Amino acid sequence: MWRARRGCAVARALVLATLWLAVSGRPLARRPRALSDQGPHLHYGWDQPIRLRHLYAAGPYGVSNCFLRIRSDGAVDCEEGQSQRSLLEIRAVALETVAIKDVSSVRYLCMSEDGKIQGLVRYSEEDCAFKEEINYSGYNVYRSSKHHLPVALSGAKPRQQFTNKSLLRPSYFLPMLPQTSEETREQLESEMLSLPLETDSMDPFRMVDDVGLVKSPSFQK
Amino acid sequence: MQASCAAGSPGNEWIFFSADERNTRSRKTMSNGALLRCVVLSTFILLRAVTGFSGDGRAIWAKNPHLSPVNASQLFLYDTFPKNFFWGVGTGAFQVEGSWKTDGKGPSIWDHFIQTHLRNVNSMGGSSDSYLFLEKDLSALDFIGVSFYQFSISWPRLFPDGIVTVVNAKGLQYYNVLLDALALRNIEPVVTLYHWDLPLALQEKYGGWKNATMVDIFNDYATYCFQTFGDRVKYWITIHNPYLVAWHGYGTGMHAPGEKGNLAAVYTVGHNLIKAHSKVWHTYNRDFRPHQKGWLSITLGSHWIEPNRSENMMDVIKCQQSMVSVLGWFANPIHGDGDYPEVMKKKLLSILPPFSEAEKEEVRGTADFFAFSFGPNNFKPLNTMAKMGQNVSLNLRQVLNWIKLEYDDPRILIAENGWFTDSYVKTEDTTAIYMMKNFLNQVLQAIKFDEIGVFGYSAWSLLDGFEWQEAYTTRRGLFYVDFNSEQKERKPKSSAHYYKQIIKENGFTLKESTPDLQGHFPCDFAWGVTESVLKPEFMASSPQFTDPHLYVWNATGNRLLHRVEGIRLKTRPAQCTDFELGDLVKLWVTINEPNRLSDIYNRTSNDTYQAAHNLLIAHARVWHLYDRQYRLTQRGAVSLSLHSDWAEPANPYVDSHWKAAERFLQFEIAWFADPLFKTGDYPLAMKEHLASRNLRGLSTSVLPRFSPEESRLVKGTADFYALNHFTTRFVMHEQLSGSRYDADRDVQFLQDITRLSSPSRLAVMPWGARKMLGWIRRNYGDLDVYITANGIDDQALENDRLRKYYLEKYVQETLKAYLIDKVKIRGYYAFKLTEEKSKPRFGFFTSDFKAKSSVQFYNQLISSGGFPSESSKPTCSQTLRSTECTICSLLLQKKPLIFFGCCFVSTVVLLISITMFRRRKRRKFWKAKNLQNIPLKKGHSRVLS
Repeated sequence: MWRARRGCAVARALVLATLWLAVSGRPLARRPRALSDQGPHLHYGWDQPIRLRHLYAAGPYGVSNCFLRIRSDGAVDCEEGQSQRSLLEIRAVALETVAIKDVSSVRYLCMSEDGKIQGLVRYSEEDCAFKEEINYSGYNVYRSSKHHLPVALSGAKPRQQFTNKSLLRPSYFLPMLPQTSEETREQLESEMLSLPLETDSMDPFRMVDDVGLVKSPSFQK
Repeated sequence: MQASCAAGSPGNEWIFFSADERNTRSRKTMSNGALLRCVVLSTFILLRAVTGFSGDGRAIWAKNPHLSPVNASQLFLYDTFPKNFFWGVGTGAFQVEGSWKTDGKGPSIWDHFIQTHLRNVNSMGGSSDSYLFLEKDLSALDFIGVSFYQFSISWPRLFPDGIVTVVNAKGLQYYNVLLDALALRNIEPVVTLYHWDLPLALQEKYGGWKNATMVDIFNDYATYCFQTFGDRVKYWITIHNPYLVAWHGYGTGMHAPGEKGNLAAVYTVGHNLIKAHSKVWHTYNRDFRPHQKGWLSITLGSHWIEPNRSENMMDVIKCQQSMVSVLGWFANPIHGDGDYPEVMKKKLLSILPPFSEAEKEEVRGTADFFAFSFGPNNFKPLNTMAKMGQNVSLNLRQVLNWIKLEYDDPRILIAENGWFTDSYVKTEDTTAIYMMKNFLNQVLQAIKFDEIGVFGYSAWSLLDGFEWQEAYTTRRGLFYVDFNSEQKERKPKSSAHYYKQIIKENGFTLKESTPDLQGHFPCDFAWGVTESVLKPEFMASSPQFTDPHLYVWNATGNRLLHRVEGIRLKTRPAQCTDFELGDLVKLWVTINEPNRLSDIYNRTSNDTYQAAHNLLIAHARVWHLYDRQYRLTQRGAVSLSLHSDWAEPANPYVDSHWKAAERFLQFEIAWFADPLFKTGDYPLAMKEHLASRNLRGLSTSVLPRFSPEESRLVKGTADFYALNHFTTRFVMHEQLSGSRYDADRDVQFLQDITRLSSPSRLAVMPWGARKMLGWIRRNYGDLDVYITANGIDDQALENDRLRKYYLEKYVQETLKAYLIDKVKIRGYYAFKLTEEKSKPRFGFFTSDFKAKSSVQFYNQLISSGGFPSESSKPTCSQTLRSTECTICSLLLQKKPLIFFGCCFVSTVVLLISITMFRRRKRRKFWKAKNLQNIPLKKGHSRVLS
């Protein structure tokens, strides 16, 4: 009887410990991270007709935490890391309407009759233009005006046709500025270090900075 | 001016080599060059066989790859020049004298050239008129305090047609007055006989320097000058920069007489100039030196060049060729072996006139010192020199080293050095200060570290004047002259003030800093390291409020967030200030650098100001929340960190720059700090400046207004001053238009090239940190101060010497601020723990978490608490803290265990008591039953009760 009672206590302790861990572990995920807030969407260059961006799929539905990519065989999937392959050209084609082209595969993001997302070589205004909507959370939803369906990434396998279209949940996308790769950056740095002299100038070392921006190392974009 | 010279550049044709060439100088190289051979011995021998090319100077380009960026010999040198160093300033007669045809002066080839080739130049009116205003020149010399004045005699002013017959009395009088005035002032004259203004008659009659007759004619003129002025002149220069005379006068046609395309003429002119010089030297040496006891040389000018790749032998050879084709052309005969450089002879063949053996003997060694000119005329336009695909450089120290190696360590007079400004720049020639600072410090380094015998320096020039092919579009004077004015007043520019100061101090003294201290911070000083953020991916915007996943951080020690699959959490509303971990955190920084964050809202200045306003209010609310609900129990402090870099006036001689520096601090720091620490309102200086800009129509910026409630809310809502300090900026006033925050400050920045700086161009100026801390104390009182970020980027992945240097110096200055200035500094956090991929390298650890050597260095610094002397090592005992809190920390650590223990104990107690209770009850019950069954007898009843 004593032993049984002790076992009972251990089990109880375990349950309590799990609960405690769940409670104290939660802040890890939801703890605010002092990230630089990119601020208004103007910062993303919405005033530009053509933007080179990566589209980060942010969930909560379907595939998330990855980058939209159109493969050269026309399949659309989502890649874990941000790379040259996921670089997209987002071009404004009409008011609030954009065409999305993958830079490396040179295919347009298009939607077929059944709402299936695919990459086509030829652009068509009906199938390959999407309304860009800003979600309340700051994320974008792309919606085909012809098919009245949002762009949705779901699962690893290509989407099967949806019987009930209204059930199709949109993917939320965040347009991200392209990163400069390490090599190009280092190249830039070394170039900056050994900029050729401007012997024609009264300031051959370019000492005077016309831009006048103050940058802080602890506030990098 | 067409620069379509057929010659192109002299070096371009020399890239071919002959295998059979023999060379005597290369043997010399083998005997005394040391640096080069150990590095590239085999390559060198191989190439020597192929090229037969000489030049000890090549050793200069073999860079030592292990040299530290913070090696003392590479850093700005605070030291003095040798005693009796010869400080001077120079002018050229044609550039400043004016009065080209008054008082019997004859025309020179440049007077003619201006009329025929530079038609758009208003030559006659526009000059500084030194001939008329000699007194003003002398006052200018007095102002600077020079020990010598280098000027040239105008040949056609003495002899109108060039031939020494009857001297022009007025001209003679002018130079006599000048020399007497200099003697009176104890200023040594350095006199140039020929600074390009050849009497036109000689050009027309003989074809100028193309004709060998010129050698004797020049000798006559020189002899007259020695006879007439030699009693007062100890330093003579025969010809100023003969390379430019030959190259631009007869090659490109950019200088008088404007002939071009004839390479043979170029080298004939050069040949005659060398012979003229050597003849004059012999005349002086033979007939005048015995009683006049002076020295004579020729000023040779040159550029400097550096190889694309210093390890590439071909590039190094091209650099050597480039130098030889310009400087070696004249220096080799005069300062070297009496003949042209081998490679020039080989390449130019018959174009280059030969020296006979007797002539070599005559030419060799005809200079008593090496007079060197290093200025814009040898750098621009591009066809001035042979670049040969390499990089032109302004490294005066290197070219002095080259001269030392090539010409056997001569005594050197820098007879012309400086840069120029565009003609719109008047007296505020800020860039010229830094050019001078850079050049002069290189000279000082060459003297102190490289043991080069530089004995004098001539800043160029005393006055603004005629700048040859550029006429009046650039200025090179230390004194500004308005060419259109009547009186031609000489106004000292900033560079004149700067040069004056250097001469007075005979070098560079460090005024910004006091000697290093031995001392340490107190035991409770917070030593820390900053890490920017934890983030699931290295991106600007992570979905922090919409990501429902649970992450575990650093599970395998890789410092990454690892997603726990299968768990979905509810996303939380956008609020981040419930101080969840408050009992563990004693210092809270609400917003990191709001003065940078607001920059993002940069569409208009008013957006920026509104964002800043909102940030201030948000911070204040958070502070009040903490103050109300958590401070009592958690006992922490809350503030926000401000990006606080120091600002210095770029030009300390100009009032507007001082004001700009202070204004910059007001806009950058007081903008947030005044509302928080002082007034509850934006700084007055900022408001007034914006108002005055709006009044002038430069912007429409308005700061948001604090309502009385907001003002009360914001004021005093920071418990300490947290500063992120990285560098010091040089600030200059520049009126900018536009309604943007950057424009509203009306400042521009200047990068001082003489300062050590990082790959991302952050200047290392430790004393700036101390000044910043002093400024904070002056403005906001005796606050607690935390340096919440301080660090630098360093390219090195292992031995990060720049970072170690930076840390040591900045902590040292912080210590001074603490011990001497009594700033209440409570903590120092080095920036930063780990760096990110493809970002500037700021980390103590690389992006894949490898420690750099600065880790150990910083560790050492922390454990000694600063820079203690041997006797005063701090004795910080850990015991105090541990005894104080053994029990509470035990309690804290074992909280769950204790809790479960208590639960367990209480449960057990409960169980036991229940059991006991029941047992007892049952016993009672049985007893009662038994009693009922036993018939009570009288005798027994007593026993039972």
